[in-house]
Amino acid sequence: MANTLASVVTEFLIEDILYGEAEIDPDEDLYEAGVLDSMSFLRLIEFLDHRFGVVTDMEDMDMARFNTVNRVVAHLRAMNATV
Amino acid sequence: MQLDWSAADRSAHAAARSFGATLAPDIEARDRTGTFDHSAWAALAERGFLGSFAPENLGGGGHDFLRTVYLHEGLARGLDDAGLLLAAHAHLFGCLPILLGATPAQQERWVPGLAAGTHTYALAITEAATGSDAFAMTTRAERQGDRYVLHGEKVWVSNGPVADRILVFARTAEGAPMSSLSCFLVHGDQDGVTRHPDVPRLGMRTCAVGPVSFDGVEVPLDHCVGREGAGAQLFLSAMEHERIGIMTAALGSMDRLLHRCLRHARAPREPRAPLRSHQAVTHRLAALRMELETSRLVLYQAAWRISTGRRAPTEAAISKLQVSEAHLRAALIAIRTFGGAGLVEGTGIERAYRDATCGLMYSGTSDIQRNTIAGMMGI
Ligand SMILES: Cc1cc2nc3c(=O)[nH]c(=O)nc-3n(C[C@H](O)[C@H](O)[C@H](O)COP(=O)(O)OP(=O)(O)OC[C@H]3O[C@@H](n4cnc5c(N)ncnc54)[C@H](O)[C@@H]3O)c2cc1C
Repeated sequence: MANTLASVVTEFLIEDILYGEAEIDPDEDLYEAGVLDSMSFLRLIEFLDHRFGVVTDMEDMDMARFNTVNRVVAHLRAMNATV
Repeated sequence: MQLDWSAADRSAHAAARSFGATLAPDIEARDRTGTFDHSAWAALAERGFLGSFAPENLGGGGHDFLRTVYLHEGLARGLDDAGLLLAAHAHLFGCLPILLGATPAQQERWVPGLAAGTHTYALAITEAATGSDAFAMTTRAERQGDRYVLHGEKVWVSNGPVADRILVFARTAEGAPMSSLSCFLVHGDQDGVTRHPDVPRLGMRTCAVGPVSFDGVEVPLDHCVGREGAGAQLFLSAMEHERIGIMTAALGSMDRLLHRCLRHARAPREPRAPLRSHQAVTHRLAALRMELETSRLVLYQAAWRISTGRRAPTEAAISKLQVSEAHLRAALIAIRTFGGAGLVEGTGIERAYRDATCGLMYSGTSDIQRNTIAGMMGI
C-alpha cells in the first residue's frame, strides 16, 4: 500500500512514540488517548521537520490543532508537504 | 555546512529505509552459516544502491556524495544485515578509484556493469605482511611489452571470494609511495587469479571476505586505473570517500539499536517496574543518543565537504574513528540495556556487537585514523 501523509504520521506515532503494536484512529484525540504529552508533542514537531521539512511555528501554535492524526495531516497539507 | 534536504530527498531516505527493512528476514540463520544473500544483492542493484553516485548516463543514480550518504543511511537504518551492507559498500565506495581516476573510455566500459551490479567488485589493498602500513605493499606489477604482469597476495578482500572484478593496488616501481604504486582492474576468472574462500570470523559474516592471490596475472595496459605511478594519490582520495560512505552502515545500526533499547526500556515487566524507571538506564540511552547524533554530525560534515568539491582527509578520518568507535560503545550499551538477553544468539543485539567490532578494522584501524588526524596537524 502506498504511503500517505496519514500513514507516515501514524507509523511515527506508533513506532516512535508508543514503541509498539497499537492502533490509532485518525480522528481520535491523541492527548486523551495518552499518545501525546508535552514531551512527545515536541517529538512530533521535530519529526515533521525531519521527515517533511515542515518547520512549525510553536509560538502561536494552537495545541488543539494537533490533537488528531487528521489535524496533523491538514497542517502538513497547508504547508505543502508531500510523502 | 548546510543540510537542508528537499522533499524528494526526505521521501527517498524514507523509501530506502522501508525497502531495507524488507531485505533480511532470515539474517540470524544466515549469520550463523555465513551466507551471502544473492537475491538481496540483486534487489539492491535493482533499486540503484550499487551505483548511487555513479553518473546517470552510465547507469548510475547520479546522486552527489552527500545525498548518497543520506540515502545509504536510510537504507542501513532499515537493513539489518551488516555483511550485505559491507558487500554493497565495498562494491560501491571501494571502487571509487574507477569513478575518481579512470579515463572516460574506461568509465564507459566499466561503470555500467558496476552500477547495475552485473559485476561484483572488490578492492584489494591489504597484505598480510604489511597490514596497516598499506603503502609498504609488495604485490608488484611489471610492465612487459603490451601488458603488466601481476604477482602477490592480498588478504581481507571484501567480496574477494565472489568478485569477478577486482581493483588491485600494486607496486610498479621502487621508491617513494607517491610515485611507485598503481591501480589495476583484474577479472576474477583470469588465469593466475585465485580467490580463496571466505575466512570465518567474529562478525559481518554474511559478506564473503578472503585472500586473493595473483600469480603471473596478465593485465592489459588499458586496465591501469589512473596514471601509472599515481596509485597512492588515487588511494588517498578514494579512502576519503570510502571512510565516510562505509560508515553509513554504522549510523543505521546505531539508530536501530537505540530504537530497540527505547522500546525495551518502556515495555512492562511485571512484577518489576519498567526499565525506564531507573535513571541509570535512561541516562545510558541518553548517552547512546548522543553517540548517534555526534556521529551523524561529523559524518555529514565530511560528506558535505566532499560533495562541494573540497578535500576532507581530516574530516574523513575523524568520521571513521568517531562513528566506528561510537557504534561499538552503542552496541555495548544495548547489551547492558537488555541484560542477559542481549547476549543470547538470535536477538540481534549480540550480533550488532560482533559486527561493530569489525568496523574498527577496515578502511584503516582506529590507530591509523589517529595517525592521519595527528599527521594532518603536522605532528
Ligand atoms: C571485515 C573486514 C573487511 C575488510 N575489507 C577489506 C577490503 O575490502 N580490502 C582491503 O584491502 N582490506 C580490507 N580489510 C583489511 C583492513 O583494512 C585491515 O585489517 C586493516 O588495515 C589493518 O590491517 P591488519 O589487519 O593487518 O592489522 P595490523 O596492521 O597488523 O595492525 C595490528 C594492530 O596494530 C596497530 N598498528 C599497526 N600499524 C600501526 C601504525 N603504523 N600506527 C599505529 N598503530 C598501528 C593497528 O591499529 C592494530 O591495532 C578488511 C578488514 C576487515 C576486518
